[in-house]
Amino acid sequence: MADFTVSQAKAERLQLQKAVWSARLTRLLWWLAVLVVIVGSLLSLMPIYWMITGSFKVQHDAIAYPPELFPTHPTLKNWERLLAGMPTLRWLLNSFIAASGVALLGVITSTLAGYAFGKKRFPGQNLLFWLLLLTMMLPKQISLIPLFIMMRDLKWFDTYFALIIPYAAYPFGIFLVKQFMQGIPNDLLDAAKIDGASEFGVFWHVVLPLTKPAVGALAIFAFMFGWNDYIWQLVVTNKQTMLTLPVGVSKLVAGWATIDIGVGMAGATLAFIPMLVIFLLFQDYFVKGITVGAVKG
Amino acid sequence: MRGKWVWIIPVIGAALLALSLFIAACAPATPQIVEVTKEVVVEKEVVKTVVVEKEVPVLVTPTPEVKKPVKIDLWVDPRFDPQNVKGHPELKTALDYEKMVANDYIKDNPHVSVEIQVLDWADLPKKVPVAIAGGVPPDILRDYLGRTSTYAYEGVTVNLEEVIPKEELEDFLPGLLELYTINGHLHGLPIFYWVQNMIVNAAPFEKAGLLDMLPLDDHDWTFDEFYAAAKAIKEAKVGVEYPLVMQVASEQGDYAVHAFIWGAGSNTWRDDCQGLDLDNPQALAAMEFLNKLYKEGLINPDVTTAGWQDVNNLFYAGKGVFMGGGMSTVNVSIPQAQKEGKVTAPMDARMTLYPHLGDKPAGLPVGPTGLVMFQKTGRSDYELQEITKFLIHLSSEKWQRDYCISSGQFPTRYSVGAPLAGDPNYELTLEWVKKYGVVSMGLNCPHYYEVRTAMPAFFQAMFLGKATPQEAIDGMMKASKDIFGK
Amino acid sequence: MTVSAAYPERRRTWWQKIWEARAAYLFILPAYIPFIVFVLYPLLNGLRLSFYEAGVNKAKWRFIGFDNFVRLFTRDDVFIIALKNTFLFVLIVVPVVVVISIFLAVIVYPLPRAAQSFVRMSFYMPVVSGGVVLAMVWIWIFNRDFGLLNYLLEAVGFYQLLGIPKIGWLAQTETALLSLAMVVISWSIGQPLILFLAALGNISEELYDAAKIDGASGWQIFWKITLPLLQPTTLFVLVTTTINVFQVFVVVLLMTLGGPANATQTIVYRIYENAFVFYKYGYGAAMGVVLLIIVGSIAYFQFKLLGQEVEY
Repeated sequence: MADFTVSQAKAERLQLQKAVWSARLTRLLWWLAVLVVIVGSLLSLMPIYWMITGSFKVQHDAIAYPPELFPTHPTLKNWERLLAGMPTLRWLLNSFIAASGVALLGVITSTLAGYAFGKKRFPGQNLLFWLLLLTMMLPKQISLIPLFIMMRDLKWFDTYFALIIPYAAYPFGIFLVKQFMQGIPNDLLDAAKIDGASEFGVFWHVVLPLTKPAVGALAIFAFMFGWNDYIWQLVVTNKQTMLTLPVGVSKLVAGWATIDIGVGMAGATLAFIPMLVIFLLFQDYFVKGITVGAVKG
Repeated sequence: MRGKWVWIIPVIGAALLALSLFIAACAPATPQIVEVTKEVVVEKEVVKTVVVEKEVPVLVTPTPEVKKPVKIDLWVDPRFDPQNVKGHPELKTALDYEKMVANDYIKDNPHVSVEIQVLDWADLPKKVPVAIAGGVPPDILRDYLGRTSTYAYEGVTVNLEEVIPKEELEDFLPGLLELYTINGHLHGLPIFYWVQNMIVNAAPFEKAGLLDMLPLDDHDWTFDEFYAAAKAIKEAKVGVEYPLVMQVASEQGDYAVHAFIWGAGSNTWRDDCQGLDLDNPQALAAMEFLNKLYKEGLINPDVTTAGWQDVNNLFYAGKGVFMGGGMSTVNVSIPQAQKEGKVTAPMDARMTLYPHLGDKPAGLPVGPTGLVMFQKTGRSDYELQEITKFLIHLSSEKWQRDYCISSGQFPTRYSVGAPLAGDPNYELTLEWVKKYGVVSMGLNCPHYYEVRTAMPAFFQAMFLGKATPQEAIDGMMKASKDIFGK
Repeated sequence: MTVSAAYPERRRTWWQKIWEARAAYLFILPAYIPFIVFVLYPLLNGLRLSFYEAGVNKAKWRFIGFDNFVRLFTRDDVFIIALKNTFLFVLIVVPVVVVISIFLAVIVYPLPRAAQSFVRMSFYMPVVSGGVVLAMVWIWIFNRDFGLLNYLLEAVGFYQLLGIPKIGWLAQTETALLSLAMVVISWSIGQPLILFLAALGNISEELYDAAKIDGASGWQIFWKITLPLLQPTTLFVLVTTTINVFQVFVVVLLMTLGGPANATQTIVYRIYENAFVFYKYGYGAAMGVVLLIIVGSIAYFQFKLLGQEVEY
């Protein structure tokens, strides 16, 4: 310090001050950004809040102007009407089986295929991959009838097969896993191969643990996909006992000349809760950097 | 590497497309028959409330007197809200009502079992066509004529004239049977119908001392009289903001808007059903009249986005006083809304006719619902007969009377008589229909839905000031011609 | 490999390549068999109807060559409008979704785990709660007279400042598409956010440490390290969001029905109406073919621009 001239010290101090201010500014901006994020999250949650409180509102309050932010006359009538005398629990179970099946199959086939597409080279790779992509680009309505006829010929109406098997291949999931796999350093794979691991061993012991965050996301997406596929479930189920929850609730509400908003909201809430549970369960998969260190060490 | 390969995709795609085309061209034209009906008969897990003990012996040891079991698939619209069904407080859902009607037949015909599905209005147009195209339609469908006529044009319905005895058909109103006759086939059996007119809330008029501006005695009024009444009640400042409430956001309930076109003396559809018929000064006058009402604030400003629920709410809140509706609106919907506390303004709902431009009111729109039987491969003559008998049961005098009372609609059989006789609104409607006749909404015309859904956009454009009334009409006419390929 | 020895040299290496990659094919097989049977075949089968006049009655299906396509572009004004609207929709929504979700991910990632979970959940919930509920809430928000949006805008003096009357957001042709775009954005962020957060979790801490030692600023780290390493995920999000937004129709169905005056018609809403209201499967399939060609070529260019291998 003593060696510095006065001007040097001054310049240094100035620079330091500048750095402090720019750091403060950055910090301020960052906190501002965090604030924006928090407000955004709360806004995003509003429809959910609306749905849940709506299920406890009597019809009169549900359509009040200006809207009630909180049910002033909470009622259980909507829930009673929804659950009474209808196999609602059976529908819930059906939906759960269908969505879990779709998620399970989707995760298995997608991780296997995604690995091959992301980390391997083979003739026809790009063609096979683009075929997958192309099928994602069209709305369901195009293939609905041919697929329906196939179900008829397989005699799969009113079975879980119809709700699950057509989704065994999940192009979106394959694409997702492929993109994630591309981020895994090749050195890790090569090292494992040098250690004498089999093809499947590399996949199972090296690649899969590294893709856990993507697999968690994939499971959630696939589950939701299997849960919400309304039109397909509507056309392949006929028996009262094989309906899924969304389809069942819509048939239940059918026939009420005045659509009770509260009952609709109760139905939506009921369909929403299982997905919330699944989401919270798979949250654990998103934990940062899980095994990267372990493999390296 | 990646870039070099990708060109092959469109080539292979095209090749696959060509291949599938080739396969399709070679495939047999008729779908393979799956013996669905026969199969399910064996599998006895069917929705029904017949005493089970009776059923089992029938299956295991068929005796000569016992008829062969028949299973019937019945899909219905969600017409009957159990809350409105009179005299059956035990019913909880729409399905319960339909089961009751079916069981009334099954108790005398235990060899018949019926699997019923009540489909939401939004689900009906999704599930039914897919099932037809997939070769597994229901045996009987109950739906609105506007939709079943499409199935008839596709030639997938049974010609009921060939299966239902002539004496039975003679009991039905011939005009309605004619509506249901498409390409020479009687494609469905009408079981009830609604008639639409205008509903007016007389309470604000009374409050403002303007009651004599409404045609409450002869229900006959002109565009000018209607305009004067609308303007007066708005200016009276008794809470009425937009005297005429309606919507052109969707095609639903479009007759409430088209009523002005009919009132002006124009058709909406051509007599030969081959498209719209709006290219005339009368239709233009109607459009200009509506446009004037909107520009002067006499129609609700959200007319281009509102749903029917919103329109009803405006009416219930006393902000609007004129609305499209019919007997069931006054007799069923409004009392129900009052019960639920939705009506927040003084309400004195009366029926009246839409105003007219010429010397007399236009005819009234009529919307029938009917039972349709679909063709099904592998159906035996015996089964056809049994299904027909059940269909006749569903349309029978006894149940029609019940339908009409429960949903405020009109019977299609002479023998039903007047289930609501004595009800002033019922008598009034009948009197109007007798006096002024009915108008065609195009329900039984080809491409009905396509033309119908193309129309709201032009009403919207006019109200939003993006098109003049003439341009709106030209747009609708062009759309109609494009759809019909002319 | 005794069989392949009989083939000429060039052919043999081709087979050899395939044989060497046999493991890869085995990995693909479990997905590809159901894919061909339940996805690809029905889709091609559906698309072939674009050359047919095809309604609900299979017996009446009739081959008509390119007539459906001719009708699409010569006498279907609404389809042309829908085409234009769809492009506009994609141009508005896709960039906004990608930028917002990267922004959110980067801001949220350093926060404590609980906060991270909360934000991730809140942005994903609109996806979970489904279209009907969202539509009801948004219709209310956009209402001209008692909607939340106009309430807020009035509170901050927006209308007073511009001196214009209150806007009915869904009722006017100028604002309807924009309003729907906002709804779609609100429920399109959740999925990319999850993916970006997961991708950030996969970036090695050592890279950041090294950069910090070299004296890189936060911005430099973001541009030079974070963004390039997120590239595979960004490509995925970009492509899937583009595909999804091209298929937008639920908001249209629930909120505007294509109105007012066709201002919110989209391609897939046209396909939906043709399939489920008019029962014109052939005509709807022709629209599907047009959609496929458009989205396919756009996705192809996205891959070209962003799809270089990321190796490190």
